Amino acid sequence: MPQASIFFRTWRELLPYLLKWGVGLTICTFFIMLVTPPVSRPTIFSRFSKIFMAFSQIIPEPAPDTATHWIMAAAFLVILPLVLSIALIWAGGSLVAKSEENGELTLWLAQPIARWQIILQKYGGLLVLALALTILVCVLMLIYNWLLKINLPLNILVLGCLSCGLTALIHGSLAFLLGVMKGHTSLSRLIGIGVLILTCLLFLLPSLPSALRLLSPFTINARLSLFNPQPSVWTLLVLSSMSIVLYLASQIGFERRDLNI
Amino acid sequence: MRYMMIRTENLTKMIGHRLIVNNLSLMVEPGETYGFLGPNRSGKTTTIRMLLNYVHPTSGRALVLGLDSRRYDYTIRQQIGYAPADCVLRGRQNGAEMLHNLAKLRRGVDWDYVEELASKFDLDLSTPLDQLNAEGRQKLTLIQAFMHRPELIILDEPSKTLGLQSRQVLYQLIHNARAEGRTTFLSSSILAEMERLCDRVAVIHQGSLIAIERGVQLRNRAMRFIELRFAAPVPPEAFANVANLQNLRIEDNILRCTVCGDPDALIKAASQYRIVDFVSQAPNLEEVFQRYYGVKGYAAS
Repeated sequence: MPQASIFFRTWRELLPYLLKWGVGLTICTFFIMLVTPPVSRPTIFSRFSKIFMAFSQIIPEPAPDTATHWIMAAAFLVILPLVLSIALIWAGGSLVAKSEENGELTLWLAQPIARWQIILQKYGGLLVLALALTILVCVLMLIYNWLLKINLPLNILVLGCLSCGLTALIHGSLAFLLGVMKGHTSLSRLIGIGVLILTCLLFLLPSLPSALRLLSPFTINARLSLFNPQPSVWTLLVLSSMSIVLYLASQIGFERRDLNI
Repeated sequence: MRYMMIRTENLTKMIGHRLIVNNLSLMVEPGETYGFLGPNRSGKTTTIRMLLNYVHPTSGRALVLGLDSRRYDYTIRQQIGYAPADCVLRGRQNGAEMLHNLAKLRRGVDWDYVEELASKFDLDLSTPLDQLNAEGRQKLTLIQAFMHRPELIILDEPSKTLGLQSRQVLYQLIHNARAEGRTTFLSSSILAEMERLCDRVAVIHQGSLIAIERGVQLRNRAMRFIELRFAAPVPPEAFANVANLQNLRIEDNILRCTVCGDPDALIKAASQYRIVDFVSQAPNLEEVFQRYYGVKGYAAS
């Protein structure tokens, strides 16, 4: 299929992102998991509470027999979507917008290729990046699990990582949508990061009604990793459908948009 | 079935409250070189963008190759070549890589022909896009527009940044396309280019079509500011009755005037004296528009 060349071209663009963020994530994971000295459970909670009361919302008091490393792994699963989201916002915001800024889109659209094909292939690139980063996180967690022998249930770990990846994909998709609609890389990234901060606040605000807090993808992750020891596949479906909705909005938006190219 | 290569029916585009293109109706026949003349910001590029479905019309419709440009843009683009104006091309890839990528999106691009075009334009395809100047970028967009020998070639201000030699190459390509029965839709703000290349020219001003001229008519309307410097002072009465002259001023040995149309009479009259310098300057488009179409001002309202 000749049109698939845009997908491969997109991938060539995304490869440096994957390398940079992959190396960064690996270093961060090993630093947090292995270099941080083990602390007792009460110490963690007293520190968190002193620093920021809202942390108690993220990591509530676990059962007394919960291992410290288990708590750290679970906490890591809450922080991970944040890191992955930033990575995907950075990539998603630039995918179409950068092509528009550097003139590629003008020439692509002079060739026999439909607008939807461009969006599909660009979004395909974002999906593969999200998948690659999620797999990397999964592998890192497995290594951590094996090295410290904490016996974290494999299904929780995998589903936890998947939900992290999907949460990040939602934010990446939103930045992608903004890039498609505005054609401006920096603006899309900026708004994407702004929305990410907003969803974190939604998640952290204890006084917010729980229905509103559910709007934050982080709530689902926190529930998945801590409150809900038997994570449901439905949770992943909810997260996936949010990404699909954003992708469809990108398609519709791009089809209807006047391109100033 | 015979169809117009381009047909617009009351094509209108408004952006906010600004009327960019106003009820534009054009018909471009197969095989002709059709000019689209207008000053900057007169709506030429927006019209082309509507033909290619980059921009959606507020009202009216555009048919390209007999197909609605909004519904069949994919099919249309299979048979057309488009070179945009002032295309920003950035990136680390070089010209050859960019053209390879674009050629992959089409079937049957002859790479030998791409290289032939590059050599005609004297463009080094191994230069990264970031290092190309405006002329180099324009050459690259022209190569991608011509590389698949399309039925319809749409060129938006193609010679704006081209040097003299490259312009000649472009004109030759347009001539060749015409000889092969292919159609060219050429937008420009350069009158001389239109006179030279086009069979018919649509004149647009502030988004509205004000005239459709034959190339020959445009040539007759050609206007030149002429300055002749003679070896010795010349008598004013020698030029008083010369045809097609306006604003004639003679100061000592310098003659200044405006020639509208054929300059033959002036040259014959001046040849009686020894000429030491000759300057001919084309007027800007605004002066031509004001004189022939009675319109003033550039920007679309």
